[in-house]
Amino acid sequence: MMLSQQQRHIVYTAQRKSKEWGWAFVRTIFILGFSFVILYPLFNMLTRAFMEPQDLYDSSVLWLPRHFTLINFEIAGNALHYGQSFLNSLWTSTLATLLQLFSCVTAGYAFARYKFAFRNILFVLVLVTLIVPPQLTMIASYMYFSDMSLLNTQWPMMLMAATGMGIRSGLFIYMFRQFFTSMPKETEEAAMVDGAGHFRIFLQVMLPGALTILVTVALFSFVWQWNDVFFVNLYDRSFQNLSNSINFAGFADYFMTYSEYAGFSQYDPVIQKNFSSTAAIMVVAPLVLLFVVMQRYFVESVERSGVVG
Amino acid sequence: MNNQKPKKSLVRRHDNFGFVFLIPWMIGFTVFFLYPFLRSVLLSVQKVEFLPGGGFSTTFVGIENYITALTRDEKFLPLAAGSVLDLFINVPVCLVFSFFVAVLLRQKFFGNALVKAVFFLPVILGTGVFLSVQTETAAVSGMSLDSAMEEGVASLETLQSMNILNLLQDIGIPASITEYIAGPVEQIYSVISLSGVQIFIFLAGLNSIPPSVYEAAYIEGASGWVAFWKITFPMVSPIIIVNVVYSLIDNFTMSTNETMGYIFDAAFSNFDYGLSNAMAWLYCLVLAIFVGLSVALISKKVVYQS
Repeated sequence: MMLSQQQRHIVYTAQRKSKEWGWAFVRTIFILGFSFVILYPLFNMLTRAFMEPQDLYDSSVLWLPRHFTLINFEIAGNALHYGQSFLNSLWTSTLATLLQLFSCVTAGYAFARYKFAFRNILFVLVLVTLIVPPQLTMIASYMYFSDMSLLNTQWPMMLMAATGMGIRSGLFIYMFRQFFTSMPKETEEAAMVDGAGHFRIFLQVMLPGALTILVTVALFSFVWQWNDVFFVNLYDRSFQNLSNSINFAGFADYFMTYSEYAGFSQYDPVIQKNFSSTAAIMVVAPLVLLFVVMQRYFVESVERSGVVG
Repeated sequence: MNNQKPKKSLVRRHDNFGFVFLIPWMIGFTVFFLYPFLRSVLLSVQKVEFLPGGGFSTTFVGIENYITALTRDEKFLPLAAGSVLDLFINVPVCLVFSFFVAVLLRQKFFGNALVKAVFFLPVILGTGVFLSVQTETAAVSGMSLDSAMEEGVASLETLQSMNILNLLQDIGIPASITEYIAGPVEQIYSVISLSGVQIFIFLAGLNSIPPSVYEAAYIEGASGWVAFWKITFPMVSPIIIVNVVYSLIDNFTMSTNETMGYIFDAAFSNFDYGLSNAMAWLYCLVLAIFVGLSVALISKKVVYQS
């Protein structure tokens, strides 16, 4: 049977359309499935945090708590010493982020805009600091800071952040270098002709254009600093911040001191787990809030930060 | 020649000003990286003794710490071998998964920005605090990380993968292979939380491919399948190296890695600094070999843009 050209066109578009719709359908299934796997445990942790102990054992209680309570948050807040720990986490993370931004943006800028001697060797060394796990040098650093009697203070973290050796600084230097390399040479030259010095070009011409990448790195840095367990445990074990408080020995049994839990006083993994996850929610809640506020900015700029090999 | 000479030195003077911007990093590198790095080499061949008044004394013992780690310590080798085995499962699975998700996320569909935000959540939650609480509580109650999820999801998934497992075993495929296939399905939650950063690294790579290349290919009559293998895949191949290295290091050094925990305990619970350092060096040597091998193997296939 011969088809006219118009008929053939209709068949062709129908085929293409059905292919497109089929793929859209499969894609939607995958995306919904993965999103479900990411979100469901969080959602579950969140609703269980509002449940009284008897609801946890009641299999007819699904999602919505039957006995709504804030007692879990109260207990977790007390066990974490939330007010003090929150403030400590806040000031250390903020200060370390600012210091890290300073050291990494200057280093990344130098690698991108100046062809100084040994530039490539030095940049390879930046990558080496990124690749060598901190666990390898931890004892030597520990003894070193112990010699300088800086242990059990925040000085080690701050000094390392200020000199480009903080948490994943190598990655940030790499990201800044990639960004500044892509900036046009002409702006710099124009400013130079107008008589601007090196620092003026950096501060007034280059930095304002780098706002997106600055925000991205700042958020990364803040999140990793806030969540850091390793370094704070190594240098300042007794420091009372959120990530340290939640790992404190005996923390998981704190709920037993509450009369509401008297009936469950013997060792009870379900209650204990619910209590610990409530505490974890309280620790990461500020980060999630921050992320929701900056969400579009964050995701877009991560995509565009141009991590190209 | 004579005209160029002063100009060149001016340029050089300009270029060497870069060192001024690099001062903080250079201080940090020598003081907080190079010095501890060299000292850790030294420590691994020393025996560290604590003096009663505080401070330490060190004596040279040669390769004794390494011998202890390899022959006398009964926990180190099995733990390290387990970590290396995990690597063979985790790294390929994370790579394939994150590449697949990045391809999905790059397409335009309703709610794209929201979905990206959801996939970014594991980057925030997957590090440090959150993960340690999840594993800790799971270990306490004698469950695996993934069955710590709501029973409904877990049982649904294990049910499905068990069926596939039985099917595959029925037709005579060895259990080790079927478990390798079924493992990631059962641990989809940890796969997702391990792939957070990689997804976004791939996404950045995919976005850097100029759309004009695709347009040209489609005009020439290329199908989506061909375009994927002839354009997308070669263009992101440099990113694959970045992601392999990132995944290897991430898997080897994350806070939930048992070998790392053991090395940490050897130093700060048993106070055997020399032994702990020797183990860390052995462990990192294995990591370095893996990184070197995979970079060497993959870079043969990599296509670099101009």
